[in-house]
Amino acid sequence: MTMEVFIVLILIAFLVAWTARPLMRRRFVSDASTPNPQLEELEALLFQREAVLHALRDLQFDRSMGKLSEEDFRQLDARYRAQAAAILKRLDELEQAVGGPSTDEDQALDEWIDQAIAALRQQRAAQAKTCTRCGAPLSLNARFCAQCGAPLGLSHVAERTSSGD
Amino acid sequence: MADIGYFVMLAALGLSAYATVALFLGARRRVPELIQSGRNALFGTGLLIVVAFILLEYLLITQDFRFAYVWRQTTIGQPLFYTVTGIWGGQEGSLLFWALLLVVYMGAVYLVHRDNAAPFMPYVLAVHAFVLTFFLVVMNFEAKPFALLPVPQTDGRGLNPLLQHPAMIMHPPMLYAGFVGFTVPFAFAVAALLTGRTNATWVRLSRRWTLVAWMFLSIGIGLGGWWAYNELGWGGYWAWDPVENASLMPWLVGTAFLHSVMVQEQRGMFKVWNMVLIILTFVLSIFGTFLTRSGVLESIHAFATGKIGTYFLVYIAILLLGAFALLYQRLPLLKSEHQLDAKVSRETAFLLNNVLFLGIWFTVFWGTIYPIISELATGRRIVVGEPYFNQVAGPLLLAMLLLMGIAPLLPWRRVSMQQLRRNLTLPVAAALLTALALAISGVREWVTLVSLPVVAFIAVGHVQDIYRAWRTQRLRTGEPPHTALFSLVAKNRRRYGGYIIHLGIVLMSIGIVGSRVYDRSKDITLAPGETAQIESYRIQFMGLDSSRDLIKERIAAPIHVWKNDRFLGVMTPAIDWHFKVPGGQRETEVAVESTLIEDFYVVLTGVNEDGTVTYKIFINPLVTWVWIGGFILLLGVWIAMWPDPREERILERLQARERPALGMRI
Repeated sequence: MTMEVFIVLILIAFLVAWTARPLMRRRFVSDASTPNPQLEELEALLFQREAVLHALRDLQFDRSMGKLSEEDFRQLDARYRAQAAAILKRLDELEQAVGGPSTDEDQALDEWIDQAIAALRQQRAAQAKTCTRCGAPLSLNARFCAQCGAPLGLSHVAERTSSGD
Repeated sequence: MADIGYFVMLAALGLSAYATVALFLGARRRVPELIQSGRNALFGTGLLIVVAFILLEYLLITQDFRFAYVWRQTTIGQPLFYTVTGIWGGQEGSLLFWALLLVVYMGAVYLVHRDNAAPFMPYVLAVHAFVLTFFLVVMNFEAKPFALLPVPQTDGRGLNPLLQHPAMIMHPPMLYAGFVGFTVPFAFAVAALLTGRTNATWVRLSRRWTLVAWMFLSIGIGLGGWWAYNELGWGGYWAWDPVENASLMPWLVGTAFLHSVMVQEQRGMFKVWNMVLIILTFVLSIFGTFLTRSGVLESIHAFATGKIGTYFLVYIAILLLGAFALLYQRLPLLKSEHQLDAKVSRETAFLLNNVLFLGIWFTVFWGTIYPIISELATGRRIVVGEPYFNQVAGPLLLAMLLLMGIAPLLPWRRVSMQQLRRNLTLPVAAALLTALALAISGVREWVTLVSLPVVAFIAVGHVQDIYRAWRTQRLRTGEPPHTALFSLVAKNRRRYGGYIIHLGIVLMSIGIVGSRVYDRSKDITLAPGETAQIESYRIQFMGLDSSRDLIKERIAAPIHVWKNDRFLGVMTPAIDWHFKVPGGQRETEVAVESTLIEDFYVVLTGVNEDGTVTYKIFINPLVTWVWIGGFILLLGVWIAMWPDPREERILERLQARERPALGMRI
């Protein structure tokens, strides 16, 4: 047997030992911890929240690009906002139950959604705005008219939207 | 040395088989010790595969002609570069290379996802181990890389000279990196089914890996075409050859998968579709390796003598049965979270996209396996030629292009006809104008009259969409123009990366139509010093020039080339005679002058006894745009692949919170 063969056999023996090692370490017991359904739901909700936010942003963007009609926008927007509210409510409950560290960013995002929903209600009550120069319908948080470019009053919601990206 | 190879391969097989079982069982029964043991065994397998690869490389470089593989892949006088890379030029070595690439992917996946995908990890590794085990079974029992020759030789046969070309050297690694790469999303899909975590998480985790695999496969296909164009000397780059189709098939289904997963991420729909598509993509990658490596394409008999094909077919059957049985069992978990909101929307466009891609795939699949089936059934091999593919796949590809033009203009969820009309006006006008312009300028070929307007439609639609989004972004944020464009793309890298890929496809389509519909060729025989005129080109034969090295004899027939009386330069088409290949092998060296308008492509086809030479000259319009489109496609992939900080944040947040409770870090 040559030296090289010897070295390779030692390497293989070492790898087998390395494989066997975890089995020696402890008694062969099944992990008692069961999957935590709350955490799985939390994960799903976090992604859903992201998806709904994304959808809301898309809707606004699609409308200001003229891909979506005003009526469709209103309907879909209301539907997704309702969904967002439900997800947030469930997230709050879960986070309290799980007691995980809620990051500042989480809270900021939640606050932003709450504000956005409040703002929506306010605005809806005061009816939809139109551009003073050209009369085109405006999104709730527009700072400029998407049709003619006329500057409009600022709203804090719009600032959060863009910086949130 | 043969002993070392034997021990290493056998130990690798043992460890990977054990790893497969230990990881599956450990994950199922939730025994951390078993999972860790399986992981160690799998990494041991990886290490041994690396050792085996280095060993085989060492044997090649030292030209140890006791070994059959070394004898086949190299010969004295073969450039070192082609000896080193010859390792993936043959069957055994390329299987080992496949395994090595899988080990590399596996290590990378483990490093990237051990924290943020802890619950998936045991199953993801188990699937990798399962795939590795298959390749190790083949290499231990059939295609042995370290097999010895019955009698040691003093010189080898050498790598096929046709393959000794830079593009052909990089072609297999790229193709394999693509094939192998689809293991990763497949593994995540299986892990999602086994753990029951069938929401979009597995898609998000594996998305970038899918793009990596897709990118490599695209590069591989492109290099294959480029090689065929520059080396084979028939003037084209794609012939619907079964070997080309073998790489195109997983690309087609993989492309459908890349589009379809967006719907799952955005809308929680198409979950079953995505599972089916990734299973199919992965199985087609294995099938592609089977097609190119089993000899089944040459004839059933070649297939029957090399048993490797049987291994592959059995493994493919196991994969299909296993994956679809698992999918069937988990169907209740894959319910859609939403319904289609409307008949016309981006979702329905994606659905149509899936159907079309599968339709094109099936066309290619049928045309590729038909010769095999006909030989099995009738004993006669009926080859399906280019016309079949052009006539059946052509219209489907055209429909695909049309859909590619419309889909990005549709919003998610629903579309109002009024808005759609507004978005379609400009692209439709562009298409009509193009058609009109073509008709007026005397174009009568219907392929051009249909496809170029469609291409104009896509290009204008995409550019319009980008322009409008850019304008909206500027107005909404008040950013200066270039910042607005940058933040628009940064905000939605995947969409705009995808748009750039689409524009790359547009350029490629123009190149393909130009070069396939309007290529001309002419045979010309010239005596030394004689000139000839081919359209606007004039050539003069300068006299023969022969040379000889250790492995080949070269006869070159250089020409001077003028276009419209402007001197372009010297082109040197040649014929190489590789005398070391048993029986000798003739290889043509093509000379090409490329411009953005057309390629002037010269092949030396004959050296005659009276001192004259015969050239076949091709004028191939717009070919360069095929390659340019390919580069733009790559740029788009890079943009789409760039990490999205938002997505990373969610994964990090989850990992911080859930790791202690949800599965163990391995």
